[in-house]
Amino acid sequence: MPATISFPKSEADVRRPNKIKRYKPDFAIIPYDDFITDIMNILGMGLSMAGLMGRIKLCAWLALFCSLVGFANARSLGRNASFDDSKQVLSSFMLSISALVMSYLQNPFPLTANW
Amino acid sequence: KPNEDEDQPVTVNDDDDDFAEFDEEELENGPTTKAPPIDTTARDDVVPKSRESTKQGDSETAQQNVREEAKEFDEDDAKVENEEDVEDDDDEARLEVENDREEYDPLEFEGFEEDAPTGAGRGVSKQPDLKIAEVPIVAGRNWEHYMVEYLLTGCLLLYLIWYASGKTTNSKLCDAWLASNLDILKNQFSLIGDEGTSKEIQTSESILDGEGGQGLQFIKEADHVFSLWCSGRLHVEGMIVTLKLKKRQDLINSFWRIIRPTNDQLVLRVYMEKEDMDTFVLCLGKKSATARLQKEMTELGAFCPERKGGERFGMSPSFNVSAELAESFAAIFDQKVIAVLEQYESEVEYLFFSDQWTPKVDETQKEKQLKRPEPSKVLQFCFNLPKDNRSPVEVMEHMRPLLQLSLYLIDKVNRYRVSREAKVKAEKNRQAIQEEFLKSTHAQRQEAAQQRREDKRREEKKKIQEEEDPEKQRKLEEKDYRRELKKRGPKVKAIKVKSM
Repeated sequence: MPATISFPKSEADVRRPNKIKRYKPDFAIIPYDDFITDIMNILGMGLSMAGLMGRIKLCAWLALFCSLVGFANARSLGRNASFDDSKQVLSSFMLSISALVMSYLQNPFPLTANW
Repeated sequence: KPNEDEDQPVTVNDDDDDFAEFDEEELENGPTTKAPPIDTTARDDVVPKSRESTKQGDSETAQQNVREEAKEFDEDDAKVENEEDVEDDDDEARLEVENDREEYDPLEFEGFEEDAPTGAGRGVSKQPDLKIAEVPIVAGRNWEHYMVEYLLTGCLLLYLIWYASGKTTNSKLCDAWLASNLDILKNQFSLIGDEGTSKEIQTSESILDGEGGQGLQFIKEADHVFSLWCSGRLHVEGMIVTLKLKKRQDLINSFWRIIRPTNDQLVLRVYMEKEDMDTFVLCLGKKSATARLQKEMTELGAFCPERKGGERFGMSPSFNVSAELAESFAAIFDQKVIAVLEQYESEVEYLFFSDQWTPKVDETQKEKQLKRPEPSKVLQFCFNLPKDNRSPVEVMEHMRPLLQLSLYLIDKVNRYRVSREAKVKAEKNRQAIQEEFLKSTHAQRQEAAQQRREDKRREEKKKIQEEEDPEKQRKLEEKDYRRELKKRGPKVKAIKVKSM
């Protein structure tokens, strides 16, 4: 372990209870480069549309995957966040699950593994 | 569900249809050798494969019929051909072929009067051409056939398990940081871990009085980003501690990190009091980090364009320094601080001090900004957590001195006062930025002013219409008319001329 670094202990108590400032969401450092959730949600919706209309089972499965990845990367599911992904994630989940159920109801035959 | 039986015979006929012509002839000559019709309803448990086999068996018998037919057919042709070959050039041969035809006993062809065979080829059969629906050959719907589905659900489950385990390791790292650094925060800040919503404030006294740190939690920005707000300290409005960890919860990102490794980051952003920091911009960090910051932070790019190597400042070459005022680096980073930085060289990502820091605004809001947002004075420290896989608590213990260093630097920055000539240079830079911003938003500000004037006039017009008693309304109209007249009228100044 590195030698413990001694910093001059400031004798005076530096705490100032009267100068407390409350937390505001825009103080948070939110990673701006994180577009994966948005991309995955849009892709999921598109694929579930394809799965629902064109009755392509593979698209419905991929839609479910996309919404799952979107959920994993969702930002600020926390309490008070300035921008909230949970609504988008929820809607893309519902869409992809409904696409999957519909495509299996209409054509109950299994997915043929042709690769 | 489509009835299987109907489905079944169709396929069978479907196979035999090409030999329809032969069937009929066969029916004529004698009992058909076709397999008995398949009764699937009785044997429910029949494995579809067996049904397939009967189908194949069925098609085999059909093929045998075909071969026998073809043989008979060939023999007739062969007979005809040898005769022709032998007496090819002789006319009688053709006559003989026709006599053969006549020797046939007409009784033999009762059913064939209308389409008697003409010449060498067979007559065109009159049956209706059957339109066969294109039905996919289906393997059936028992449970073993959903192989692909089981594979996909397996992947889903794997992803969920990975998500759960990644999330727990991330939150364990968070708790470890709290466990090993809370005591430093407690004697530095009076408010720790506030979400801005709860009415009563969790001051550090309340934490000390046995309420215990359990109530204290990081705010979960995402499954891999956690932040903690501390406030109530000398010279400081507040400090936000953010743990930007790897995306352990995302399986795809975990693969991606094998190709492009990233590391866990501890980011401390300190918002200084307005009067507690002088006007200077300074950045010290790894080459890649300072380059990225130069692009991200507008004021860093504007005020300190060039990046000097660390060795010029008595530091290791892996560090880069970009400072607006050369003297600011020497004043703040004394020997002790540099010693610590050298010791934690692999952990330090960048240290960024700026009094013109403005939050990053994405493009959409950029145009709407009329007034330049009031810049705040920010010290930002970014450290990487060591990569060797020690236990989370050990890792955080290792990071403890860096937190102490950051808090020590707060006081150092507060004590630093810019010299006079450096002050002039700094003021000039800030002025330049202000003008440049005003120029760029000039058009928008004019539009906004125009908009405000129009709204005001429309308000007045509406007020005049709504006025009840006609007499006051008339007065208002008159006033409005006179004002418009004055505006439109030529600029004439009335001068009293004293008559001589």
